[in-house]
Amino acid sequence: METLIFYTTAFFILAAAGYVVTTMNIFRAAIGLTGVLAGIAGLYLLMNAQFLSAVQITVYVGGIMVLIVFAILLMPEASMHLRRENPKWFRFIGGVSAALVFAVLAYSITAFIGAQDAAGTSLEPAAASIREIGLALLSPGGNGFVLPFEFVSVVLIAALIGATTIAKRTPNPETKEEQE
Amino acid sequence: MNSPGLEHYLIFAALLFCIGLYGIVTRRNLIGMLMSVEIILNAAALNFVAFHRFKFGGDVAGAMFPLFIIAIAAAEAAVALAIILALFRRKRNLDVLSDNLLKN
Amino acid sequence: MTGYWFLDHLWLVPLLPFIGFIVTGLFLGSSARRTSAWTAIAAVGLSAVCGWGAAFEYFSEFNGEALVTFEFPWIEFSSSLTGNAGILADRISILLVLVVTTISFLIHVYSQGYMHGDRGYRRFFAFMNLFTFSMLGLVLSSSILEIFVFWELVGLSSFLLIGFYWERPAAVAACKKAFIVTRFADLGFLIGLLVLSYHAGSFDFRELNSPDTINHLAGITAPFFGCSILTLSALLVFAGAAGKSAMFPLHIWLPDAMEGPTPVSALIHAATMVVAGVYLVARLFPMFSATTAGIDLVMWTGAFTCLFAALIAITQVDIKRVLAFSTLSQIGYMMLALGVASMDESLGYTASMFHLTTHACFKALLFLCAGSVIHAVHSNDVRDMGGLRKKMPITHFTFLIACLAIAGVPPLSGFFSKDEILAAALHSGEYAVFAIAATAAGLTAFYMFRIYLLTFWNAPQDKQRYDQAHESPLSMTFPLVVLAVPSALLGIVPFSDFVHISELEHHATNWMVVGVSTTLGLCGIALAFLFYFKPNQWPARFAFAFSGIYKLVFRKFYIDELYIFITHKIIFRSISRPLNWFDRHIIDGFMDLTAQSARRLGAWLRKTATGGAQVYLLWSIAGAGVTMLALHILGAGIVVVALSGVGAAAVTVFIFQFTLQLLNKSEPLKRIEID
Repeated sequence: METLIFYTTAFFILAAAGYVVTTMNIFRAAIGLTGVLAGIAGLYLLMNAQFLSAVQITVYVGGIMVLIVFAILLMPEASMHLRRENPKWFRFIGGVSAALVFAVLAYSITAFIGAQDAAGTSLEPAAASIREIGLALLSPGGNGFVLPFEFVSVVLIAALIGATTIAKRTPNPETKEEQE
Repeated sequence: MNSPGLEHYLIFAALLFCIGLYGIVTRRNLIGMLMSVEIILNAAALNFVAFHRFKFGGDVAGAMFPLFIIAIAAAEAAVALAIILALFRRKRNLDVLSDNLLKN
Repeated sequence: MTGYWFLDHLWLVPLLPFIGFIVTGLFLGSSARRTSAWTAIAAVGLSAVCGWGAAFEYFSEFNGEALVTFEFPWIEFSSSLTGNAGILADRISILLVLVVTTISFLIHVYSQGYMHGDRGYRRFFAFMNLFTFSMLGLVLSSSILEIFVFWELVGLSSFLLIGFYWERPAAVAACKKAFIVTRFADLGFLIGLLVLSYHAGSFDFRELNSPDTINHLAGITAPFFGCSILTLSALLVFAGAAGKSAMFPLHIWLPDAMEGPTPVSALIHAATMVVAGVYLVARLFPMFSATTAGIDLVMWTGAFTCLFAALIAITQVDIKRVLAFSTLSQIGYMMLALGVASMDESLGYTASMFHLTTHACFKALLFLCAGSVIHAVHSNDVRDMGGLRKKMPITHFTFLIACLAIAGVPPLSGFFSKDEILAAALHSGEYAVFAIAATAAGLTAFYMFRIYLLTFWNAPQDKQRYDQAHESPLSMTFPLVVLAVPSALLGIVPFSDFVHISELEHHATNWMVVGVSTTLGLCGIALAFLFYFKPNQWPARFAFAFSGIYKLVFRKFYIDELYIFITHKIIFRSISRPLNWFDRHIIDGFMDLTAQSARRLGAWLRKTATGGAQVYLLWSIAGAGVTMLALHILGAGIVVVALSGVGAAAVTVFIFQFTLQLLNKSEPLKRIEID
């Protein structure tokens, strides 16, 4: 059953991702991306990481995706239709490169897993509970993550302010000239 | 079919990562590129969770990093979209190649 | 510290003209003509006062000790070899200080009138002060390294003053010639002093001239024709001395140096700088006299130049050139005198210094008189002059005294010094040298009276010039009269009491020498009267009868042409040209090739740099993929393969470019276009 769910979800995610990177309509790409993110949340669930799954749904699907869709809707004429595509040779090289990277990665993963199995160091499956995550997140010391946690909060604040500043409609002399 | 183990997740993540890579390279639209980046980030986060789940269950770090990745991704998306918006106001399009950004 | 004011402050002697140089050269505007002249004259005058004061103290209190009154360590080469700079007072340096300061002072006064109205008035006085400073520094140097510095400084000031009329191409050519020839000779001096000091372990003259050092040096065999270090360094140092003193075959610059203003010729190219070579040999005399090859070279170079220059002087028509060749001849005398001397029989040494002193007086006087004449008739050519004795009585009279002095007519100064040289030559047993010197003495009398008579007697050749001629102003005639006094009377001074290097010798007067030299001198004068007293056909007939020899001598034995042949045909054509080709095509070609290769590669690579961020990204990902794959499949071998590939590509580009370069198809890199 677990296997079936994994393969189904994986196939769904890959199809959605493929759609995201190939479709000519950016809005549809955004819908595809939502599918990818949701699928990944499903995989988290499959791996007993319920908290992460929830975060993935709320932050990604509920936050970032909404942001992206907003952005798309804000500049419709530039983003609705990807009229121009990169040349074929470009896409070809990109595809070959990506395939190459995948081949190498797959080879490494297989070799790594094989080596691990031979050494017999595989551990029993385990997953951290929400309680454990919460404690680790806020505890100082060797296993604590309070320092990165605080840093992330600072980064988020900075990003918030930065994004507001950048996106603010400033009286731009150049733009005015162009518009005139 | 045996139950999915570490290698399944890893190879799946690698595949996802390469799709994102392909998207980054081929997309000419900035929002398209941003979405590809999100795919790549998710592939990376998936790796963390898989390792945590199947290999280093005792260590909570594997569960922590996806959290941070998501947080950073949120910040990144916000800033990137703001930049894209500003750029769009100036150029009226989002084509990476139309106006060579790094030239001049 | 000696406790005597002037000797303790001997450094003031060179310093004062230096201050004069700085003030006139830097602080005075070019409109301050009178001020600059008087500043320069005052500086040299004060320096002369200090020099005379020091001389009185030295000769009355210290007979012959070498005093270093001021010294400081200058360059420390190693713990055992330190170059000191200092002020050395001994017999010859004090003597030279007297000669240089006095004559320089008089010539400064003279120049004030002579250069009147010249555009470069201030520049002239600045340079003259610079020269005086350099020359005084040279004579007072206490170490061979220090003397070299001043040696080059006098060369520089000579260069500047020969090229004083820089608008004239001849002057420019002359100053370059003088500089290059002497510089070439100085290379020998530099190598010589380095060899010498390295082996002697000291730069100090007192050290270098000590018998221990000389024996030590004589014992070391140089890897050069098997001669000793002593001989080798003596020969090299003499090369420098010969260059500065214009000894054959390096004499070619001196006649051309007459392109400079006449006071310059008088001061630098007659009285002082050109005797620096003689002074240097005298300064290192113990060293030279210890090596047979060195001292013989000095002697024969001197003797040959003496006769050779006298012969040329007979045929020349430019009054200053006659005097220049006369100077060569007289310096030849001094060298010859040094060459026949030895530490045991040092008469020649004394004679040389004596002749240096008297020559400085009468040759400076001759030049100044010539300058006065040139000032009056505006020509250097004796064929434009004639009959000027009535127009210029003072110049005429002083010129006559100088001519009599240089011709060796008793009892004028030249007679004594020249007799002393001849006696020294006879004494040393070098009869050939004696014969040469005596012949040259006769020739000297002849050519000097030739120009004297052509200038002041004979018939006026150019009516217009003759009518314009007038006596020079007081500032010019005053130095003439002052210089005429020592020219006439210096011989009476018991010179050998003051200047000698070993035990004081008193020779009974050698009447044979006196007779020979006086007779030859009078014969020369008589012959000159016969030829040139009144206009007649004799000179032209003689010139015609011996036209071949006359032409040879008139063209200065074709030495200049020989130099031109050697430099142009041999050095330029067979050495410089291949070197030039090599430089252009191989060295430059290599550099151009590198630049061109980089440029072409860059031009090619530039096409890939479109500025599209995504393209960069694509290539970096593709590169990463290929690299990862390669590392996985091939391991470290890929590194070698990749490097070989890149190397092969680079070599191919290189060879391609190189071929283009050699075929001159590729333009040299001139500019790099950036669009």
